[in-house]
Amino acid sequence: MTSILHQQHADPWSTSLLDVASLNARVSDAVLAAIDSARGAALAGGPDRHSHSFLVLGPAGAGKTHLFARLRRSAGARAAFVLLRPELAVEPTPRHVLAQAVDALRRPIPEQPERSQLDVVVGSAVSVLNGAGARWPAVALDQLRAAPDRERQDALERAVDVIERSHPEIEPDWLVRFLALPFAGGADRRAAFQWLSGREPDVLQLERLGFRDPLPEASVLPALRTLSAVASFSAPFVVVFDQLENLVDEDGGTGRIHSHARLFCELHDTVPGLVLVQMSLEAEWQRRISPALASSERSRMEAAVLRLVLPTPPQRAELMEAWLGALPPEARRPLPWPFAAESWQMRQDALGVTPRMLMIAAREALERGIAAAASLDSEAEAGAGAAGEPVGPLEPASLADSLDDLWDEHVDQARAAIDEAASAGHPVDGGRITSGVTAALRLLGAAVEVASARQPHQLRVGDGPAPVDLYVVQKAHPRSVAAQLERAAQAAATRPVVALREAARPFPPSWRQVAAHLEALVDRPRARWLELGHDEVASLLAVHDLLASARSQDLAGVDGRPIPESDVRSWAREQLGIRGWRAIAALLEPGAADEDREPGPPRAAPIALVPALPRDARKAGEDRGEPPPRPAPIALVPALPRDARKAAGPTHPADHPAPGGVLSAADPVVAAIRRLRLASIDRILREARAVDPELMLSSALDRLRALASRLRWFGRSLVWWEEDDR
Amino acid sequence: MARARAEVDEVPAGFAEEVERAARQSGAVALRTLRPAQGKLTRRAEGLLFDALARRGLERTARALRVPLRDQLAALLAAGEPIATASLRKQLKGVVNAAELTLVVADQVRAGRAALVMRGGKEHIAAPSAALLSRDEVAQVATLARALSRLAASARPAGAARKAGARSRAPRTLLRAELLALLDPLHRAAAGDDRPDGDPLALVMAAARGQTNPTTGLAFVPEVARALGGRLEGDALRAALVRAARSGMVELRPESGIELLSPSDAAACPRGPDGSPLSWMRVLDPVDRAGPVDRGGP
Repeated sequence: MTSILHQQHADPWSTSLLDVASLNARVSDAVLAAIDSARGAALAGGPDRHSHSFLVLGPAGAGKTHLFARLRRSAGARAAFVLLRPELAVEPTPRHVLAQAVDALRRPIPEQPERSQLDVVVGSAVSVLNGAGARWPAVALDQLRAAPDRERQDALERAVDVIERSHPEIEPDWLVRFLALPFAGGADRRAAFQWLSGREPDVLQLERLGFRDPLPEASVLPALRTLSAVASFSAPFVVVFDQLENLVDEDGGTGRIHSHARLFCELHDTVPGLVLVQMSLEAEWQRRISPALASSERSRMEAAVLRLVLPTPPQRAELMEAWLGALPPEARRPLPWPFAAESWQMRQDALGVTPRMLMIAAREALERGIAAAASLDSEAEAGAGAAGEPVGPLEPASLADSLDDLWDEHVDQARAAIDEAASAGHPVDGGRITSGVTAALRLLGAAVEVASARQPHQLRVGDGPAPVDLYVVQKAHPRSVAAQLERAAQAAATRPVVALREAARPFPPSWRQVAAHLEALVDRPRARWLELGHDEVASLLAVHDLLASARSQDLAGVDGRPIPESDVRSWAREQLGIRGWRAIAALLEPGAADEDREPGPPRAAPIALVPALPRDARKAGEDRGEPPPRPAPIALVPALPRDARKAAGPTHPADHPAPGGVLSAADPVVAAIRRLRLASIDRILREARAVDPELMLSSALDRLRALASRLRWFGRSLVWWEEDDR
Repeated sequence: MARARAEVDEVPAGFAEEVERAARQSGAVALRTLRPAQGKLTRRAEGLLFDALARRGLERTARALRVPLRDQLAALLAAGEPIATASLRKQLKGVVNAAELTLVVADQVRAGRAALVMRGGKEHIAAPSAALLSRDEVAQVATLARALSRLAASARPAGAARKAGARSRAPRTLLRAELLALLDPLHRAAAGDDRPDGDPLALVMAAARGQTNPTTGLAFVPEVARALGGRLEGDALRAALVRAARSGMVELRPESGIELLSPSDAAACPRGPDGSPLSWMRVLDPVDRAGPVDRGGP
């Protein structure tokens, strides 16, 4: 399901496209002209740089996402693209844009995978400032890389001086760090990326950078202006706000529309040199979004409206030729294949055909054979012929299959996003996890209030006398984490609280203050602490994106028609087992114990391990001077069949007992400590996760405690394996 | 002794942006308020500030710094509602005098970016759209008004009878059909219909132009149906829409709203090949009709 022929909607970052150059050429030409104009203004040293804005409207399947991919491919190294989609619990702020823009710089240039956008932006700026023009960024970078440190430092400082003279609005400190990025080594580079993106670096990263704090709020807009100024020498930033129909709240509220409008106007007015593009379903924009805007907002956001047009009959033939061209030569036949002749004639001449409809019909015809396609056509024609009567919905089995595949696709994308964040050295943004929880809860009809950035919690769930507060503890710095946990513990004194964190980002044992606050939190009877596994986080991200795509009508059935949002929502409610997801269950039933909730997946026989005891039992035993009682068996992660996993939804690894009866030498934690002998907990966890990516810190610690007789502890973070010495 | 206030000889960082933001938010800011926290600007610094702001597209007058009047006017007109010309001076910020305003309005009208329209006997300014009559149509209205006046006069008692008093003669009236026949061209002019009477295509095109959103260039088919006021319904309406699309006058587009289309509205729309209602239309301009743009690359 990964070939270009199987893509139901275009991958915005794909470089292999089925493109008909004449289709919507006016729209792409307008944006490309704006890119050239932004480059020209900066290259000419023109002070009168301003931002360009476009609003692109079209029906579902007309090619909005395809337009993004086409622009990216056409512009090549001439522009840097940022794609932003509304998230339910992410406030659209300049900091969010900065983070996404800096992330975008890591992406390779289309058709030049060895060069990143960052290389081009920095290389061109340095090259232009040296008087060599923007054509040879790689040469400029290579020369600087080869130069001695002192010489390179001088060259970069000269560049900063020159840029500052022509663009006094920039932030010099930020620029110095930014220009040094391509020359930094792995860890330094990750640390600098983290700080430059406006995210919170961890302690070690701040130490590396020589800073005490993350980028302050007052520096975010200047940083964006700096980035825009530097990029506009060679590759101006094209900031694309996609799927804006998702700004419309289900209850008709306009708060999110105004938040977006404020951000857009702020970027438009105060960050020169950007090319701003908004994309939305036309009906939603005209009837729901535009009427909600103030006239000052409308004058900026609707300054240039570009409509996507539907393909004409000759363009449909061209599109089909391109599609056939992507098939292996031996499987290729001339048009009207894979359609029957009459079917192709009908599709070519019919009114209201979008490119997506045509592509999906061609794929179905290919996969099901011409006979099946003809039968689909005749059904469609019969339906279309009856005036005012829509064609019947898809067969339930077919709909479920389609949604099953789409769900898998979204989960895979979510996993990729988590991995991408991990490789960039930062956790998944807390806002994304909060958005996933919000989407899942709203799907179940729960009352959810997204908190503002000033409030300590992220969500408040329930409208009864005791709503539950959610704290998403995804920060990287112990100071912020400790503060968040402290606030959560304080809140838990008066109301139920659920706090969660990605299990893949365990707290290092050296974070003592964090550990103390966490202990205080879990001691509260109304508090629950959850460490979410990789799959649990992926499911939360995926459910948000699936529902957002449904609202954008980007999920199409086998007939090429968008699957109605209501069908997607009821399928998700019934099939994904969302009530059983730990984070959701904890928020919906804060008082219920784990075992009271919905049954989990089929379980295998438990493994006998010696895990940590419940805190109360341990404490009571110590007080009486008794040896600790033998604890209950610990649960490990079994490998379940895919269907069983899906039916049960994502669950905590600790919910799954593993087969076997004793802790074996093959256990990843045991294997790691036996191999390393002396190691930190962090190191053991890293090694063990290479074998079992779902392994959590708590589980690893439990296993280490179970090996107490063979281990010697040095403080809280180092252990020594003594088996072979005895 | 009062301490002399320090003067600032350079524009403080971020001050130009701050002023620009304030000007764009309110339309104009008074020059006397342009004082950074660090102290009063020297003449040189003021010059630098005004230069920077001029480069950002702001205008300076004797008393204020403003967004250019034509931009302010365009933003007002973008809201879609006509604005009384007499109230413009209050609605635009930083206007120096009436003459300047008259000049801007005339300039915008000449450039085709605005039109002067009478509404309730008062002059208004509006964004050009199909909702406004053309110059020829206004002339046609004048002709019709004269004809209507003659018709009304014919119903009045004539000459001696008027002098003798109304009581001596029975009152006169008019034939309804004659009045409607006279008014019909007026209705058509108002709807922008320049085609022969009763042509469904002409009716649909006129209604579509009238219902087209000036910003998005799209018309909602059920609203077009309602604008026709029952003159074209059901199959006849759908057939006319399909004919207009087939002849390249409009583009019919599938519904993309989320639960925005009621069943009765959906019934007014033609269907696509997959049965989805084609509920939006776009009147194609001559460039659109000429066919796709030929380009060398994607």
